[in-house]
Amino acid sequence: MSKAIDQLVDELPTGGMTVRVLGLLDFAAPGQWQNTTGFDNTIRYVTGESDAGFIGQVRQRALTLYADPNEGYQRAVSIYQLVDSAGGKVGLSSMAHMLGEKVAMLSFLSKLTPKEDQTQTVDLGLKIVAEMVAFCYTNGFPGDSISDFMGAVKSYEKENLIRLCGIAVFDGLIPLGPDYAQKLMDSASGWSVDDLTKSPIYQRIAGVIPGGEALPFIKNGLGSFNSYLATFASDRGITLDKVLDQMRGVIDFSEGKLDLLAAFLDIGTNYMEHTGIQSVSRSLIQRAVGEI
Amino acid sequence: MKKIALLLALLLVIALAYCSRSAPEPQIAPGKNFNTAFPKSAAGLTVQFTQEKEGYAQADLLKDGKKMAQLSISDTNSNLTARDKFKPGARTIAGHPSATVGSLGTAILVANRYQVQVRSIDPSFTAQDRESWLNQFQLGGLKQ
Repeated sequence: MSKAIDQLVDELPTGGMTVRVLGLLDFAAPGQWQNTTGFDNTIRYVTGESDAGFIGQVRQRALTLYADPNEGYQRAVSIYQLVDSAGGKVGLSSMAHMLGEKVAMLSFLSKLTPKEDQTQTVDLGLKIVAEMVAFCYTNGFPGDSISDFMGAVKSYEKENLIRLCGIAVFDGLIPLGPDYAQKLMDSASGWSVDDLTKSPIYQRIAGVIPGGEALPFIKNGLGSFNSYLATFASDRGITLDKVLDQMRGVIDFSEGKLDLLAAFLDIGTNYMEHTGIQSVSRSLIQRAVGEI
Repeated sequence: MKKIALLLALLLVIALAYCSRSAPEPQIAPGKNFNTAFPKSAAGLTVQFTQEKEGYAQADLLKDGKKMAQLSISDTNSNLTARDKFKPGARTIAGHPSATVGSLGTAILVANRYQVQVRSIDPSFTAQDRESWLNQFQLGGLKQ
């Protein structure tokens, strides 16, 4: 185990590029996400309780559950970390402490490599699959049917929902345009193992995809997500114009260079890891309360 | 004399070895065993399963998509100290000893093993609501 969950949550930043761009997504999921950091803080936030003795009991149980690798929580966190680190975070350290000031994307131009549409589409699909796998490691397969399971995914809220918005906006809408969901579905049906193995994300997460054969799992997973993804943006009023309006307040970028903006967000943020740690700690705390 | 001392030492070693043997791990029921015990969705209220782990299952109670409460069943064999809060002579709900869990949770202990808990999420979901929903679990399937 790399770090205990309390340390991971305690170390989450309260500012920086990741927190700022996640905050921009509030228009798509109003009031859903607040950047809760610190493990005891998170226990208070999730449980609604303030008694120190109670918080201590929940903390202890949550730490015990997280420390057991068979419980899946560690693996879920590692998936979120692996997906994000695949982007090559060359700009992250230099952007981590930028609070309040507008970032000039041009100053990072030498580090930005726009992805081909096909590569970006594969990465989008893999991030969605990684999300589904991490969900299962965190929460198991709730209920007795596929519809129970999909119901749990579709009732995403808070950190989970803002992360899905992040996937849709930062990895779908900005680099691929408004029809990103259709592009993904059209592309995924024809994917081969070769297409996947070129992706750094795939190289990192292939080993943690359940079932042995990654390709059928990925195709089936995306297939079951199809209808949800197709209307995800329209259901939440997410449009490219709205997103870019929000972005202009934080990042100085050129119109018509959205592939560069996507590359910039890829190297400059770790929104999957950040909100993933928050999601895992929420599930862990909810369970700990049920077990103390 | 030397032989007796050796014999005593040997007996001591055997006794220590016997005492230090760990007790067998209590069996923990899979969370999926609990699903049928959860209340069913009723008019205007939906029971949405959200977690299922070894010895634990959890659902949200939703009203028009809004989370009202968290429902859970846990096998206390995975955390035996959870039983301590259910004191002898405590008030019963649905015929089982009850206890509070923090200020927002109410739990009962079924078959001296399974903790069934309802926690308020929305402020309008009262302690009476928690008790009412505890009564709606199908507890007959939870056996020792």
